[in-house]
Amino acid sequence: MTRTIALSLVLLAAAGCTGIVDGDPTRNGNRPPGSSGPGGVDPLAGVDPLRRLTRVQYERTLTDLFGTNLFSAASLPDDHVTVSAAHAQAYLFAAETISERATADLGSLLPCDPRAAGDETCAHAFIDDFGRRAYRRPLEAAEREALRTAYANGSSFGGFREGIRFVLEHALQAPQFLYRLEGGPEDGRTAIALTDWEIASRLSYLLWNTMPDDALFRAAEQGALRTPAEIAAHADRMLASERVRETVRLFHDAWLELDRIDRLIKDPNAFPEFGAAWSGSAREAVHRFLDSIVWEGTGDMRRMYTATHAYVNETLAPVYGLSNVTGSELVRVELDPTERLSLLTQAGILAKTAKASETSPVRRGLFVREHLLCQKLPTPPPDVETLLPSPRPDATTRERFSEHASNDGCAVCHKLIDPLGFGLENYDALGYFRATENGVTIDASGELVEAAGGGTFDGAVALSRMLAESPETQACLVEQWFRHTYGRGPVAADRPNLAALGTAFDQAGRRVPDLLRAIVTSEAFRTRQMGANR
Amino acid sequence: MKKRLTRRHFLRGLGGVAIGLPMLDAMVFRTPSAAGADIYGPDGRPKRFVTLFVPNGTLESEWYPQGSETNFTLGPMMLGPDPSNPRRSLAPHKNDLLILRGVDNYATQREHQCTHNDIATVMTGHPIVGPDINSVSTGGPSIDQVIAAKIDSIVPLRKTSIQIGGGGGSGNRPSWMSHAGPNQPMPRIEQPQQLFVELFGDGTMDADAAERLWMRRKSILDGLKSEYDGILPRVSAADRPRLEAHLESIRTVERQLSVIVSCNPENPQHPNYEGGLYTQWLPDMAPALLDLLLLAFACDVTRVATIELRPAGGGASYFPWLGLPTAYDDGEHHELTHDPNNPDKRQRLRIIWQYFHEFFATLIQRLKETSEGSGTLFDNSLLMEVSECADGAYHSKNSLPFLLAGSAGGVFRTGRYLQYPGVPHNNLMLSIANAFGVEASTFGLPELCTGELGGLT
Repeated sequence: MTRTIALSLVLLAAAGCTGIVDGDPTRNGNRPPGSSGPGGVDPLAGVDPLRRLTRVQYERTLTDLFGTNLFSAASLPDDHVTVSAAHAQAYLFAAETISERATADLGSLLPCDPRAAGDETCAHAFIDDFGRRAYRRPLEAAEREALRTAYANGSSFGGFREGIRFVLEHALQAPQFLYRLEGGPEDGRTAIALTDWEIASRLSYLLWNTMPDDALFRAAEQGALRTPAEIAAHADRMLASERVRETVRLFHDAWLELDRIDRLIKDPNAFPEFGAAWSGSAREAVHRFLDSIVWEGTGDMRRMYTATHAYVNETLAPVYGLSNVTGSELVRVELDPTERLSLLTQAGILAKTAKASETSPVRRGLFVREHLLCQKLPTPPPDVETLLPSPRPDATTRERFSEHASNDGCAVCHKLIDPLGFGLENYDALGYFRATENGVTIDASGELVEAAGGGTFDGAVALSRMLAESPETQACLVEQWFRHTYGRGPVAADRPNLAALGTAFDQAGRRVPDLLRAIVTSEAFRTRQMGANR
Repeated sequence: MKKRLTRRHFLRGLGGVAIGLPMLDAMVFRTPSAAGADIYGPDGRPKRFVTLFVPNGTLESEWYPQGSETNFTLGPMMLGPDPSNPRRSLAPHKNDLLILRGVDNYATQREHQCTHNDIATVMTGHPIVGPDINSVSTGGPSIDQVIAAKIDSIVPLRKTSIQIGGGGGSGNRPSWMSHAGPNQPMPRIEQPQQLFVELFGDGTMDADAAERLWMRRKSILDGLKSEYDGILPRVSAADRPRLEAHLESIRTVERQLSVIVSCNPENPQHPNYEGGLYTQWLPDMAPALLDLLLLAFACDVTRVATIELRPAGGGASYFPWLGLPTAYDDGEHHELTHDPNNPDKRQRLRIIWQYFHEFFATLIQRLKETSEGSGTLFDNSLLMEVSECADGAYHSKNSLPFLLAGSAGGVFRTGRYLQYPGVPHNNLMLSIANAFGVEASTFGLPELCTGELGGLT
């Protein structure tokens, strides 16, 4: 892990290869004439951010709250970090719709019969029961009072049912429901121990992407989610469930930006076979491939880089040179291991890292550097000519990109990028294998520099085997799961935790369920980090 | 389109009695005053702010005029093929234009170049921050939202602002113009049907039902405001800004819903355009969206709008109805910008820009044709057209193509071509904000703003 830090410094220190690396919004250099000012430091670096329920989590949580799917979150605006009035209005309208549907059958919603118990008594019992599940912890006195006030306002407005509707509409827009509030005011502390209830929510939203189930609530109530052993017992139960598989898929989407496959645009003249069916198949095929690595066989994640199979249907079959696959169902096929290997040669990955009609060694190289090795590179230096020569009918893409190597200003960074992309030049912009381009034999030799286990290689198969043996790809996978868990990138203070997770991951045979188990039983998972440098 | 234009603004007294005030006939919102920086023009009628985004930069030689400040001839991209037609050319509106050269974007994502993501930095003057889950975020509010907030602080409208647009970009995450604050992109509406519902959705409800629904919502929202107020002191300093933003959003919704608009156009029943603005439906959709926007202004449903007819960046932006090829290398907008030395492609790029300028001219002309009080909707309006890049081929960030139309109620002196020696565009945003009475001393990232842009007034 310390290697990664050292490496970042090496990248930065390389002459010319300087600039922003982590999106620092206040950079030096880009200043209007006559202005000045120092660059700022992000005050929230290292702080576990406040999480709002994503659209998927919102819908899942509602389904678990009411025992039935009452609402499609597709009508909500996208999951932007901070809500706008459009979100607030959408939550309002959603709550109105949900409360109407949920109170259509009061008998199944309420824990009591209002005719027997009395309207107000029954409403108050409902508030305590529903409120605890909606807010994912017991109500505090002021919260109970607010919901009782909502009931009183609603019932005077339109009777008992309207009172219950007001309770639901209030609760479903309350910060205690929409956000995963953790930790309270920080009082200058750098880390705050979480309550059992907060740990229950962290576990549930990480592993199942929804609210805690009854068993987690019971454990929280009994104060039995404090120790690593107690948490591990629940994690094992949850990891054994099918529900965790969808969470792993969401992680793969975010890590590898697989959603971009759906938004791909290809030149209709070059690839008339490309369309929504192709994108959908290609994205699902990458998921199926990764699912098979995570959940089948040994589960060793190095197999991401050594597995010889892919998932193919009749839409994708031509890309893989297969003629015997029919139907729209994806089926597992073994590929020629001299031509294709691993994640890198999946059609969806090759297509999403290419342009509309041509390949892009830069995009493919950056994909390996940034997503698989977790190394962030700076943007191009000042005043460089970034227009590449136009495509030539007698030259390969690699030859056009050779400007990057011959220009010193470009070469210092592009030697980290382009040689990786050159290794994938045997696959065109949709992922078809090709031995020649414009009649010229493709040179797919490359070099992996500035990475442990690197060296020269020839072609994607050799590059994949090199990545499989590099400790950095496995450390990167651990870091990506860290990002997914905490909603932020690691800072220096997180390095010991990451190193411990990496060791646990390695020792358990690099299996994702074991990594998740190590994450949820770590000290960091039971505390909210408030920034190490305060 | 047949329309019944009545607008009732409910004023609520102690007894909660709603009084319907028909405002539309006179449309005088305030006692006339001297010309100046305000949300109203000197005649007491409201100011309006519209931005039209044109993607992928331009060709400076074809976009800018030739000549001096007051004696200039428009470039071919503004002149268009039919220079005497006020809906097809900017030439008939020349005296209402301000064409700015040498206004640079210092907030770009890359230090010395624009990227297509910089659509998010143009109206905010803030560099891109991240990450957001679904789109590119910047560090602060955009000019339209600053103006909308100013208006909202004085008079609540049904919609503080409207954002029209759709489609992704070529790059990583979709990126667009309007942002309410840090990490707070404003969602956009693409389909005319959806825009109709947003603008006029409650307009078909009878007054009693609308009032009852409002009372119900008011009760819920009041309870929620207390809930958010109560939780704020109990969360960390890191969490507070986001919950405060949520509380503020609830307040905005409350103000918007308190305005019961009874401006009841017949639902035009636009079809849902499959694929949206990114595809060839643009020639059908754009006029439909413009109709609704004009109606929203006439009914005073909103006063601020942002229009992105095509997203920044490349991919699938074709213009077959203009006779341009649909082959990727020969007709795709972004591809065309990157081969500027090819005369055929230059010609096509000119045609594309003429199309967007035709839309801009139509907007100007239709505002001029819609009467309001003793004048027209155009009198107090300010329209802005801009791209995310200056020169599309080289991704240059210096001299963004800023085109203004209208005087913002007599604040800006129009009919001029102003050339600057490279000034930060935050200065222009500051001047625009202050033309709407914002009374700010800086805009965007403060170190990228050196004061109001000289020469406009």
